[in-house]
Amino acid sequence: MNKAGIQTPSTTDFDEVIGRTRKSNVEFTMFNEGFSMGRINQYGYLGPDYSPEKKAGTLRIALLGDSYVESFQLYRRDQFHSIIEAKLSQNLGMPVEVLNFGRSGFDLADMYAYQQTFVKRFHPDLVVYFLSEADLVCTQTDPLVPKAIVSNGKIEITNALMPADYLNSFVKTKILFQNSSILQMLNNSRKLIKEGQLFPKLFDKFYIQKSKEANHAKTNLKVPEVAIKIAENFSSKVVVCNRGTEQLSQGFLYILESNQTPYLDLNDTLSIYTNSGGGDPFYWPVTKKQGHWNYQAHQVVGNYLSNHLELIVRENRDKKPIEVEPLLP
Amino acid sequence: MLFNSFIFFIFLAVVLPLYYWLPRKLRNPLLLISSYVFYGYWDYRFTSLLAISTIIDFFVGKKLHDSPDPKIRKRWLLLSMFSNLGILAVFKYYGFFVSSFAPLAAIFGGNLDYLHLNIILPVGISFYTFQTMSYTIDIYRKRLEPTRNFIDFAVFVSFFPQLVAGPIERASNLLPQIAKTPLPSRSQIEKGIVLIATGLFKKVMIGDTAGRIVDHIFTQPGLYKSPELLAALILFSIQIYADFSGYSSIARGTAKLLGIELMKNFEQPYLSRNITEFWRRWHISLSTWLRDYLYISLGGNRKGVNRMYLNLMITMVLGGLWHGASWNFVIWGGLHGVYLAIHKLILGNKKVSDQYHYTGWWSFMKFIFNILTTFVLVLFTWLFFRATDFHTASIFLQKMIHWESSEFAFRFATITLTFASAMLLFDVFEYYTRSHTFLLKIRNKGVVAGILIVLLMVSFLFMFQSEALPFIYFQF
Repeated sequence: MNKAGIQTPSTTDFDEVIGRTRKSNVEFTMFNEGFSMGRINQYGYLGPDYSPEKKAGTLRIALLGDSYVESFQLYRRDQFHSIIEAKLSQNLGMPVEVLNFGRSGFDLADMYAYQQTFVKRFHPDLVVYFLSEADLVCTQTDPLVPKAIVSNGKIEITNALMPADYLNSFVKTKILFQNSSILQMLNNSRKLIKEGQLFPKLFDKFYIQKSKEANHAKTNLKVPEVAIKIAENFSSKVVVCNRGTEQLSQGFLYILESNQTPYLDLNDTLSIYTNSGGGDPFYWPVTKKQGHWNYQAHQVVGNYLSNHLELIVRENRDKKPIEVEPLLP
Repeated sequence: MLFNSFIFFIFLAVVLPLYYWLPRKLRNPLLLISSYVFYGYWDYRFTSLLAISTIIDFFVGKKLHDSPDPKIRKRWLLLSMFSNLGILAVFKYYGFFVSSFAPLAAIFGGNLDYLHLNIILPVGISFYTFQTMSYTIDIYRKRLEPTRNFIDFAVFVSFFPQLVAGPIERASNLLPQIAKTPLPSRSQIEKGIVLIATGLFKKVMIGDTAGRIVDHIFTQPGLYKSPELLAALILFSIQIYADFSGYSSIARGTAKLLGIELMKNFEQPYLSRNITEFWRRWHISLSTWLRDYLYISLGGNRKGVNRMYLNLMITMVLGGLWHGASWNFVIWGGLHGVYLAIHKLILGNKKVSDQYHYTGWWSFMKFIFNILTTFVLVLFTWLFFRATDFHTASIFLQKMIHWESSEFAFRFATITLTFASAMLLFDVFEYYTRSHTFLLKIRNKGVVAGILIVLLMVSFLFMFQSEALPFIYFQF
């Protein structure tokens, strides 16, 4: 089943420092709202084998984020990462490497912990955090990732909070899931049952969904301390990009501004794209699903980011402030 | 209702015990209600079309039989033809004709926009329409006695295992079985379960999984490279076969559980050594229908050589159009017509045998070469079948001519070979044992049970975690 691309076995592994991580040297075929093939490289992230040692004269950009950055829905060659890489290489006249460190379900704290424990090994010149408003809550739902905590007014990364029993069972059984498509399918089904999909799947039209009370009240997010500390701790290499459909909290933006962290917002660009007849950036016509950015949206995001990252790179080079205008690619 | 949905198996779990438990005279009413529930589950409004077709052909059948006057008989037949083909014309071909004539009208300053209607194509309309038409034509040709039992006839038209995608049954085969309301024998139950398990596996694990790749690539062919497009085309040839033959197996298996035998629809078509043999092995119920009711009605080979070729082309083009109201299907049918005509021309009066007999290494090599040649010819036609428009087909052809490499060529080759091997394994066993229930030839029943459980469990598991893809032929 793996050879036929029907079901890729589990691609997750465990590392004492990074926590739950990707299994290196794994080829995958993914079907969700889109379809893609790819490879987790020998270093355990998606894309080409860019080694931790960076070649001199190369600009290296690390992209951190959740499944939007991970982009399992389309081939690397169509992802915004590749567009940025190609455009910046051409426009800056130097080799540019864009490293995809996106991980499904990651929030700001996860991204920060990932940067500190893993990404920084690759010596990126720029680290772009792709965030949405929800990512600022920093719930860190995955029990097997290092936790970012505030201790004595400082942000710290710790692995001590991983539940031992959960960790043990994961470590003992991972070999089975990494090598069996059937077990992976069973695991997927287990998750679906846990999400309450058993009866809707079995009874189809005969299943009557209990109406849930819609929560229309807009959550007035109070940015947690850990998010504030992370933002305060951002180095000069960090760029923050709002990938969500809503503005990031003002409190958080204020810290970015105080810290002189460059901030980009994809919301306007994607809205302009949609309003100018470009279509819904989240709609996938083949599977007729709403989901992550589609091919066109990746083009738009790639063009926008390559323009703005170029400005930031040039600004850093020249140390002259350049005003960043929203551009429609 | 889709065979590859859990609700179908729940439906079956209710219908089968009831069918076995009810007295004989109530079994057909149960089958009729079940069949309408099965069909109406998709959209209850279209059960009315099914009912209209049933009522008209039931009465036309009786009138045809009772009228001695050939002129009156012809009028009754025409009524049946017009009503059935009229329903097809409105629901399936109306949009096609309007859009096809629109450019012509535009030349003369006309505008046919006001004629465009968004008509939903009822599932399986081509299948049950052809089935009921064969009933009246057979009575007209005095090859069949009409049934006097309306319920039996209504079950014949709507019999749920084969209602939406065939096999297109002949009344002479199905009606007498329905009239008997038999209970299945032990052998039928065994074969039925094997057919359902293997059919479901083919449909879900081969057809649907290959189809996921095919759908993505055919929808946006511009995004993919030459080897990927070629792989998608080969995968489509596997998908459509696994999908349709899998459906037909489930249909036959389900019918067997009701004690009813349906005709075989496929006999390892990709192991055909020539195109004529391919059409004896592919969608047999349609190809024999077209032969008996169209090709022969047009005169077949009785009116000279030139007319025979013309009849062949007409039959194949209309056969293509039967699949869908689109020029792509016309090209698909036309290409097959050309292939068949050329093969007939080469063949002359020689007869074609459908079974290979090993007579040495050389004969085997020739057998393989002929199979591959036929497959490549068929593969080319699938491009027009699957491509939704000429633009897509032209992108494919351009990328085949201007070949560009892909970093995923090996991965696609592996995937394609894996799917092809899985399908070939089924075909070789079926070919060798000349049975679709070859698993029952294994003497150890425990092993058979084990294989069936694995096939079913894997299929169910995949069905649970994925969304059910409808059968390709549902849209026809």
